[in-house]
Amino acid sequence: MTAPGSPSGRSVRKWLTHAAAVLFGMAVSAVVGHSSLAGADSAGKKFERQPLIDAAWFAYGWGSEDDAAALLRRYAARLRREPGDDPVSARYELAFAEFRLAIIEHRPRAELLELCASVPKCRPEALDELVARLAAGRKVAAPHQ
Amino acid sequence: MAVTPSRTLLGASHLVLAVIGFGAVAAYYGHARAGRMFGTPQRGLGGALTSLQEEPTKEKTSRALALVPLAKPELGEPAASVVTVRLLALAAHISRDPGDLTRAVDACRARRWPSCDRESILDMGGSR
Repeated sequence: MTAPGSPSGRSVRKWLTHAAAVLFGMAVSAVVGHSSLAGADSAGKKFERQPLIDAAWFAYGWGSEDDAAALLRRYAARLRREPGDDPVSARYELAFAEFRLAIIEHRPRAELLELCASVPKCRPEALDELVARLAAGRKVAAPHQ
Repeated sequence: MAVTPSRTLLGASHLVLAVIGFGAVAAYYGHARAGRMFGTPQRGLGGALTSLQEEPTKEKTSRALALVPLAKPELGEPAASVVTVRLLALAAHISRDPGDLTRAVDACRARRWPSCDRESILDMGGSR
């Protein structure tokens, strides 16, 4: 057995502290990395929905209302199926998507008012203004579909 | 207790080793993080579209266009076609290349959209 004060004992202790330093660094990194992975998954789910909502607004602005409506329906279905880690924000996003879909589909005013109630910051008295703001995003004068 | 040069050296070497340990695991997590964010073609395409909104470039547009066929099975239609029109219009707007413009016009007409003339395509590409 090696005596603690002997040269070989000091050498073993030195290597042990070196290994402890490496392990300490790895442990700190693992804690930080593990928590950042959860955030990355949530961001990944948002990126997964991004092409649908992006395409929906592009189709509404420059293409056809039918395409925009189909894309918004798929976006809403995906939000319902996979709300992600933040169900409150997903619920609001879903309410917005359904409200916009109703406007694009020219649904009756009574139905728009009903949907408006579930959309944050949507006031019934400002409904016409909201509809007009959305319609301003349409750049092409397409025949009414 | 007096701090000797050898103790200072030992402390510095521990610090360096801790940083090496941290870096090794951080590299692993960095790779895993990128995989979770952009691990599927659809997530990659979503990331590319987000990046294009911030700073549109021809290279980013080409990379995003290359992802569309890969993401198509998951993305479905009309999403894949609409994203293609959007990206081709953006490419045409950036490069002003007649070939890009023709491809964008053809993709737009394939969707039977009302305004697929060259001027409209350039306007589409310029819109955010």
